[in-house]
Amino acid sequence: MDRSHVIEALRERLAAYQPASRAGAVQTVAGPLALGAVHEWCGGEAGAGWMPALCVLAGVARSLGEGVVVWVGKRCRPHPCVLTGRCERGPGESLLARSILVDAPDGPSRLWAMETALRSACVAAVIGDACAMDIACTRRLQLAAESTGAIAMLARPRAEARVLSSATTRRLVIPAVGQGADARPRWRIELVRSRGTCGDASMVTSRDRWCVEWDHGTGALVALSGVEHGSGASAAEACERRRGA
Amino acid sequence: MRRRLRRASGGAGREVSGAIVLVATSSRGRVVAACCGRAGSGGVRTGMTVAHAGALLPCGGVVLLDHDPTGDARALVRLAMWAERFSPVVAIDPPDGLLLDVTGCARVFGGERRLLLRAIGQCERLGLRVSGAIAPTFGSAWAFARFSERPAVLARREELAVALAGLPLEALRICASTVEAMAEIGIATVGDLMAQPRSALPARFGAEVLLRLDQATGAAIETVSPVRAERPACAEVVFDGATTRVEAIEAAVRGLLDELGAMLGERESGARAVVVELVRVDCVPVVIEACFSRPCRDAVHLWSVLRPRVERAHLGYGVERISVRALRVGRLGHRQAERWRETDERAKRGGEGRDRGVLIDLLSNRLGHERVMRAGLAATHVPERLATHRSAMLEDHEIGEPPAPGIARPSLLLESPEPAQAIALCPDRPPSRLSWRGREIAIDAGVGPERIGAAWWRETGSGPGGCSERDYYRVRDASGVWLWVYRERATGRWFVHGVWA
Repeated sequence: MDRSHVIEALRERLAAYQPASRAGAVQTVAGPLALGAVHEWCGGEAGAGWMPALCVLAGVARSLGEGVVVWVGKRCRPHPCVLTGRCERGPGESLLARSILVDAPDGPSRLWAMETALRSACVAAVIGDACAMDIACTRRLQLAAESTGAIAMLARPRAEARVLSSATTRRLVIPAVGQGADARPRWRIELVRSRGTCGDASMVTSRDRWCVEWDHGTGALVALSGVEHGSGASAAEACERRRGA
Repeated sequence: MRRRLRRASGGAGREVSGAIVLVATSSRGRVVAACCGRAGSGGVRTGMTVAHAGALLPCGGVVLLDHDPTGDARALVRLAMWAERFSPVVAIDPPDGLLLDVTGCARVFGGERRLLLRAIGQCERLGLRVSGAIAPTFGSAWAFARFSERPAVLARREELAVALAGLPLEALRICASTVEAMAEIGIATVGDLMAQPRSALPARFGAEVLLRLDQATGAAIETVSPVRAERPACAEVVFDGATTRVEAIEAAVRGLLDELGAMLGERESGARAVVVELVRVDCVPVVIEACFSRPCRDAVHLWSVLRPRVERAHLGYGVERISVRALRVGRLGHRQAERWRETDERAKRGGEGRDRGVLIDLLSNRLGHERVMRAGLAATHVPERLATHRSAMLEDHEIGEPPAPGIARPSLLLESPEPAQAIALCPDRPPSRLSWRGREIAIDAGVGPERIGAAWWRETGSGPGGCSERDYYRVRDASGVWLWVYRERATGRWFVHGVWA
């Protein structure tokens, strides 16, 4: 028997013993989110009155798969009514049944809880309060997310939109005004940072925008329109320019 | 039966009247499995249909309960453990009896009669109707307990034959079909049976009849299997001398956890709570306790949860002994180890459940059980009480039913409604201006009112802490942020209750 075929067959058998790793990206109403990565969501005013964009985070979490979703931080505790929707990718438990709420008392505990949850094989996403976290903290979370392929969604105040971070993407969530008196809550989501998008031309580029709305009837986040590309070049063109340089 | 009914109806002080009948489902439908004395005196018998029993008893004077043989068996085991105060050897005689070997125990109670009366009295204080007897053999004690009118105490074996002679054949624990067969030929009592030639009995009625007769009279030995309380799983190590070396203590604890895991494996159970005790020299012991969301005997997981606290323990002048004990256990069957990728859905779900349990254990033991929660929805229309939060360590967690579609609730409900000043152009219209948290907010759109009234049968009072009648509005400011505000109908005050963040 050809030796290369034997080696290939053995490699396949070994790969079968490895736990299935998650790679790629998942499509959401706010654009694709890379698996095994940290994504930041900046919105709201800083200070004691800061409120994370919980509707948007809950709506995006619904489309992330069947695993457990861990909410870390007292501010990141949505009302159970917005978590009753089922996973969009198939039948299964509702987001409320899959959610674990963690009330960490301080910043280091929040970081530890998020990192521990990201390293758990059953977790699909960790949504946490990342207020005042520096680049070292986000780097720890990035490494933890890469180890299992889970997604970390960090909520930050809008005032921290320029803070240094290891996050793969950073989005601004800005409330928008809808049409008519009976309009539903609406937000404009703008991608302000996207790191390492080479290799996949379908990935997003900076300054892409989405407009989403909260549907009270279904408890879901609904995209009002497709992605509005920003003035920046496409990912493929940017990659080509970098290779040429 | 009345004790169970009082417990089910929620109070010891509420007297239960009426005849009680336990109902089981059989091929004939719903039949009487057991009944109280009141029902029995009314003509109800075991095996009778419920309809027939209902016809015999006065209308409205019957309480029907489901027969729960499994629960009764568990209760009998607990009663056997309780009865060890009278004898160290207590066996269960299902479905509703206990056999106690009181050899040598009578002296403690001042005689056999006193022992028997005390046991009966204490059982009656527990709410049980009891009959008992003391005799030289288990068989005869069983017979006298069930077929004597008064508590009987027989001290001498020579009196057994005479005392048993007048009892019916059922007193020998013989099956009903054999009793019927003997009754057909005129053998109705134990005395009649003892008068028959012994050699003919096995051939005619089976070996059981002769065995039961000999066990009752003492001619054959009868043994029982006493109930034994299970000793808690515990492992211990004693050092030759007190040690303050952290590495030695950690290695010892890990070894003890391996030993504990093996003990639990033999019992097919897992630990729900584990205690590690470090006995220090000239100091109070350090006690470290960890709880687990589901039964666990994996030493690696036990150590990962206990390790942070063992590392931080103050060792004082040295640790001389370490013990590890499983405080609470739960059933955990054996599982076939998997070496292939788990493609079976059921196995995958089991794996996800285990991983979820591991995560909850790590988070809860580090941050506190009350800080790791799962949310649910209560069956109420009061917004403050709609969301429920329970510790994730609890196994039973009900999500509850979501509100009806179209009912809008904010993503963030404030801990308590915050007072605000509002200006509304019309009484039943949304406000046009709002002053909240020191900010003036111009409202450019609003929806409402949604009237939420109080649960009049439960709550009274007004104000944010109570639940008076409220008119809720969804209002939007100029920047697009939606707020959930309400006006108290009784006082006219405005409050902000939630935000669609």
